[in-house]
Amino acid sequence: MKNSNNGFQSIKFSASGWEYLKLYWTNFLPSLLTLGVYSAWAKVRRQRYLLGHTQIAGSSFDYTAQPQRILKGRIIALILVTLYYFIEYFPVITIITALILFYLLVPILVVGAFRFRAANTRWRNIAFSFQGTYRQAYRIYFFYYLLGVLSAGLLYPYYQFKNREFLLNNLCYGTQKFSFTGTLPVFYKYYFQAVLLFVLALLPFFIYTYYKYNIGFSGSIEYLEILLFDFMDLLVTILFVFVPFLIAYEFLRVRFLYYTLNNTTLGEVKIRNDIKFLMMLYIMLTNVVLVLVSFGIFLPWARLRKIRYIYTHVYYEASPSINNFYSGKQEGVSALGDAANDSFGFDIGL
Amino acid sequence: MSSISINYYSGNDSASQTGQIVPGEQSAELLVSGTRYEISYSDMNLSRLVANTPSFIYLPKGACCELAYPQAVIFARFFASNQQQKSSRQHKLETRSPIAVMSIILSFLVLYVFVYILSAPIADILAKSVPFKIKEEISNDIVEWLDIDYLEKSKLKAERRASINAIFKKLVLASRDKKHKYKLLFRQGNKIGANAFALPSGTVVITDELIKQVQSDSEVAGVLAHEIGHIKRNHTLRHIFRSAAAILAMSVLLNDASIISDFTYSIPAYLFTAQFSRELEYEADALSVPLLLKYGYDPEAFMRLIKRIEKSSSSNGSSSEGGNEAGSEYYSSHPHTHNRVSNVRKWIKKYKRDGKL
Repeated sequence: MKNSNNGFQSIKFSASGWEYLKLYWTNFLPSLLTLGVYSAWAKVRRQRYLLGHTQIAGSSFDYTAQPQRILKGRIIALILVTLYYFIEYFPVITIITALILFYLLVPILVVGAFRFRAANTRWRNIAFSFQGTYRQAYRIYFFYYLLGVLSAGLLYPYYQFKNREFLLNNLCYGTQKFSFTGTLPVFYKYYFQAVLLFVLALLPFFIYTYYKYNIGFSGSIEYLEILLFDFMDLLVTILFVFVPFLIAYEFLRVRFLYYTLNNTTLGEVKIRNDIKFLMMLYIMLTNVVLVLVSFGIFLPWARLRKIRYIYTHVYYEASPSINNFYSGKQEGVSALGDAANDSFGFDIGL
Repeated sequence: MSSISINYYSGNDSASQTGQIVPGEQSAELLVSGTRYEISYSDMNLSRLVANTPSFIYLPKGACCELAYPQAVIFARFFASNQQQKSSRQHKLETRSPIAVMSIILSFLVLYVFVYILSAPIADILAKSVPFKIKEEISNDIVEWLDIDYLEKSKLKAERRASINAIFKKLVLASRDKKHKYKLLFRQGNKIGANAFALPSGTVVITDELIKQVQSDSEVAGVLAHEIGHIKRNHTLRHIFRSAAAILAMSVLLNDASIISDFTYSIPAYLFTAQFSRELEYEADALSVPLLLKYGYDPEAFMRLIKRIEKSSSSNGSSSEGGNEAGSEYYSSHPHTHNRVSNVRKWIKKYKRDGKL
């Protein structure tokens, strides 16, 4: 699809990899020196940079999150993660209760994160909002997710489908809801294609039969290593099992993203994209190499490269209706974005 | 005064109007669709400058203006508030390449100091603070797991086991370590082969395969004294805590890497932990010297045993990552044997000269 083709226009993304790299690292050092406190401010600056360089119809996005709120969210997340790691030292009953509590928390956290993110993203002075309820979130992240796990993955596409319905049909721009019109069979089609891809990509691993697990003598605390795998074992696992899995998983993600975007509308404004799996795979694999070779220095550059590819391959219908969204302020429906003020800045990358 | 082009958004609908803003001393003049507004700086808010992104001016009654990048900086100079000045300082730093390069260097330096220098004393303190009960639980779990997945009951004769146990008891006594419950377990190693482990509570596991390779009491005493050294100095826990520090540093470095991160950090983290492990091996070797000399055992006998086992395992066609002489030491958890021999010799000399370590 080309720009301005049949009334569709691509998102304009003007961020530069070098600029972002500089921004990232000058904000990384203070984060490190303040033991992570500044990271909330750094996050806001990064997000402002990315959204500020994203333009639709000549207007940039604005990010209005308060760093203090993100800090609060991060402290809560840190406490939860710490508890999670130390939990195995407690009696079994405590562990089970705590795990159940953790899983009960997940839907609340997800809803909070989406509310926060949406309410702090603005375009043309109108905020987005997320109106999903906890009840709906429990159904998705508890019931459907559990179904996916219990069915050994067979209902995983169903969960993914329900999840997208939940996320998109509850996302609003001003008073206008997004609407997702995709259907379940397509999700299954991509899922089985991904499974097939994984099995095919695993073939070298099955062929690799001469590999024998053998631990040499050294007289020591070596059982730690048996736990962590030894170096060769790690390499083999990465090359023959993890890489095929990564490829298949990326295929599924890209396909789901492609299908979801092509079947989402905002009022009368249609959305299209031509994100290609092979291109995304190429970007992902070269990014991994780049990040490894540069000891992580090029991580922000690599991330930006991926975002740029996605953003510039998403198109919106350039019709006058793009000027006709309402904040709802005049009609007194203003409560839309305000819910976010109660939630903390717990941010989840999706 | 020069005027700055803006996009004006009313806050009611998503229409965009072009307009102009003319910054003055105390207030700015806004021109939108033929109407002129005079707005005092105290009634407006300016978003923080970030690199070369547009800025937003938040006006009274929920309206908002968008300014393109260079004009945003000009406007910010007029818009005087302390917060804004602080923000523009950060903005200036972010856009300068030498500052970015310095930040990268300093960040890596801080992480390096943390992983290689600070983590050692922190791990020592943490390891010491772990109660014996927890060490015992961890040890029991590991033994249970090894027994299920790898080990079998020892097929060694009872007399042989008793004589090795006697050596073990002597060495434990010499170690003067009252904080651990020392115990020697005999197992058949199967896949693990000739090997010995030290568990945090004081349990030592030794395999039949290893004992079969032993040619003198000095050799078996060498193995046991080495393992006692690991236990006395809390090596397992120190290793776990230091590795955790390395993994923490990696995850800080790659915080937003999402799917890449999981397997990007496993390799560098492995290299860090392998180095800590080598340091601990040297320390255990050193600690074994006085115990062995006290009963007249040869502290170098252990190294001869390792060499013999390496030879037999490489002639079996399977390569061992243990003290393998070929290849680099960097990815190995154990130092090269010739390095260990010279380390042991150094400590023997020092011990014989000073009478202590």
